[in-house]
Amino acid sequence: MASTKLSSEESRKVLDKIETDLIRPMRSHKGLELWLLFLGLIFIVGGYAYFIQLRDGLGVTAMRDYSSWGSYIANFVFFVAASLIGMFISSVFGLLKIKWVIPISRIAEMIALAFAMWAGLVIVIDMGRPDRLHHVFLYGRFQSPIVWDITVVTSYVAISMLLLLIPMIPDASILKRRMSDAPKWQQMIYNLLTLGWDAQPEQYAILKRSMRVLMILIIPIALSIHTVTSWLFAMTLRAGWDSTIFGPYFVSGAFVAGVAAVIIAMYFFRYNYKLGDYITDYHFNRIGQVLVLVSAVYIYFNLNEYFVPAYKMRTAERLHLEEMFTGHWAYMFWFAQIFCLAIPTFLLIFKKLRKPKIMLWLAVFVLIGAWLKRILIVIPVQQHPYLPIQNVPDSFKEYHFTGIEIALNILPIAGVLLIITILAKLFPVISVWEVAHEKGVDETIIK
Amino acid sequence: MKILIRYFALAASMLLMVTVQGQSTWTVPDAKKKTPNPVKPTTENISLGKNLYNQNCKSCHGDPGKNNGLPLTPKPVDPLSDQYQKQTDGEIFYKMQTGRGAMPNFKETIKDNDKWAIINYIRSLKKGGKTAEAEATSEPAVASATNTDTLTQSASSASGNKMAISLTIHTEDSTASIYLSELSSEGKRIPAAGVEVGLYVKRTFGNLPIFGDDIPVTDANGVAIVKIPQGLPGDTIGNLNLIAAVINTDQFGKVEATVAASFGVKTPIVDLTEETALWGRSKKAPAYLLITYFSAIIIAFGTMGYVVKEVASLRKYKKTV
Ligand code: HEC
Repeated sequence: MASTKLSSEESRKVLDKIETDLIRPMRSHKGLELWLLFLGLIFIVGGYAYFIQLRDGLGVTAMRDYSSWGSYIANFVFFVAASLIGMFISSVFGLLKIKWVIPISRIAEMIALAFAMWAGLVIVIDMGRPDRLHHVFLYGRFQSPIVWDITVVTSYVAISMLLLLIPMIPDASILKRRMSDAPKWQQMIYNLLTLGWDAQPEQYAILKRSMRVLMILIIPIALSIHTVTSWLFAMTLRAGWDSTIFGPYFVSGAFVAGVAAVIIAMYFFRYNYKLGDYITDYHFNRIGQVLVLVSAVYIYFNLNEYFVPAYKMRTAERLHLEEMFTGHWAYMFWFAQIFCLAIPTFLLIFKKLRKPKIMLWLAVFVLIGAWLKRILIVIPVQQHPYLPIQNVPDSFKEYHFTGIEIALNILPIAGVLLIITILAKLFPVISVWEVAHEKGVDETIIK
Repeated sequence: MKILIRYFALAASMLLMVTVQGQSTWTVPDAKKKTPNPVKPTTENISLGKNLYNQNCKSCHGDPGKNNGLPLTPKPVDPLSDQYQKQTDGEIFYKMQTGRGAMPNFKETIKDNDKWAIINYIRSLKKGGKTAEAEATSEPAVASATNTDTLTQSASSASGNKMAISLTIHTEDSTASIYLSELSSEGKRIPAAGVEVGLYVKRTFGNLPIFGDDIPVTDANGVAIVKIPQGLPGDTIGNLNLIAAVINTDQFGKVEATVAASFGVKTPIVDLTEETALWGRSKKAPAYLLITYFSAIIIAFGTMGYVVKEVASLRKYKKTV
């Protein structure tokens, strides 16, 4: 990754190659129709499920008087978690001037934006009366963590959008030049985004300063989205939620989920978009190390979150913990902790195993575990209120996912994939100008 | 593992069902059936039995006569039901001693004499039940005021006569005198001696007894004097509602008199939602919270706005046409 300056002739040649390599996958639509058809099918099934839920009410889910937060909220927490990674990779590593993240930071940002946008919609799915959505803004209490959460998630969507679009300006100008055969609306988008980009030194100065300001600002916002989401639980007195480390516990868990999502996306883009020259084994090795680091931190927080109360076994906590360790939730709990966290972390310590294909599978496990973990955080706690559950129908006592619920949890995931698909077809998934910079291409010709 | 446990539980419950069905009638050895009740059913003893019943049995067996016991199988029987009452005292005692299924045994937890007191109470219900019917048919309260501080109400006594109670508050030495009488058929008030009466303060969720540990009993003149404790919290202007009542409502029915007295301690009532606090209404949010919240929003969106403005100025530097 040397960045010695190239002569202007070499510059032109290198830039041309980068442009061609990165723009080619945007033009090839092989298999795209089939993929969109598949997503469309999920949307139709999910849409029908949502119709039934609107018509018959939330009773079609497993949510009842005791577990009034169910898999939708778990899914929401998962989405917020996965969206955190955009900030982690592009801003923290960016500010630290860590070069290897350059080819993957846009992928991370796309994932972040897609998950953050859908997180809000997952909440709407969870509402029994979505027609009263605006009441949250009209009558919300400023003292309520729910209002804070809406505020921070909205801010995060806004800033993620800026952080995706502003570094896109030089690329938009390149796209304008190279995609003159694209449909009118697509050219209009490039035209709009170009904002008079002319690769002038003043323009570079503004661009870099703006990016730096956003990268700094996004750190507290991103940390708050997941901290505040954890407060939705931790601000209550319930055994199992009433924990002082919920904020960092959630944030560290979010890094794990997000890095796993990025690894899966990297693998896909590397092979499907034939970007092997840009996303190399070196990058997989590096991101694998990152996964080990964040997982180790997460394991540490897990230890605190479960072992500390388990040592004391206060009455109310005990019921909850026993259900997790040996009771109703034990299979899910140990599967998530061992197969989806401990083992992948351990395996990735070895450099030999930090290879794309192995990492893909490990990342899939980690991501599934991350989802299950959110279920384990949200649902079991509610089945152990301080007053014993008595004289209620059986359906109140246990949580059995319904088909409608499952369809409506898959729908947002399809939605995320759709957004990423659209973004990846409109824009290069790797920042052309930043890669060119790294290769020492003369700045003034990048336009 | 879990499945194993499930099967085991299933098998166990089936076994249980068989045994329970096998002995759905709860038989008591003949010798035990005949155990006589050694405790005399005096008023005090019945009243003790009632307390014990309420503490130990009511949670499952419910209010006598209302058939509102817990929905268990087999159901805890209402003490006023025929099934329950037709048992001998010895049988009930034995069942308390041994317990069965969901019915716990009280062998160690209730003293034998106290068990008999519960039985006395349960027996008194059968008679008391009749009184209750009589009360329903008789004219309810005759209310009359003997002086400004006093209000009288009456219900029928065990003998079928109406009872009247009056309560007078003496602010000088902060005592209350309770006067209990029977109304004879000629309308004369005959003092009712030897009856337990109580003095209470009306509270939101029931009456608070303020007569201490010794239950006041009316003397030969039908009067009981009760000292009123100092410093009782009253309403915002210090008013209290004092109630004099006959304690044994099973025997005498509800006989009560209420008087408003003004020597409670003034208690300001704070509506929690009106407080400036985290739990208050939105309009009552603490200033530090609002300042933090809005400054965070202003900083975040202000910075984003600044960046957007900066980026919009890129066009100014465009050189090539
Ligand atoms: C935890 C609930 C519970 C409590 C507390 C309880 N019981 Fe029971 N009781 C039951 C149940 C259930 C049965 C029916 C048992 C059976 O038939 O197997 C029962 C049955 C009985 C019977 C037998 C009735 C019959 O027809 O055979 C008697 C007598 C009785 N209880 C008396 C008492 C007394 C007296 C007390 C209080 C000292 C008491 N119980 C407290 C649950 C309770």
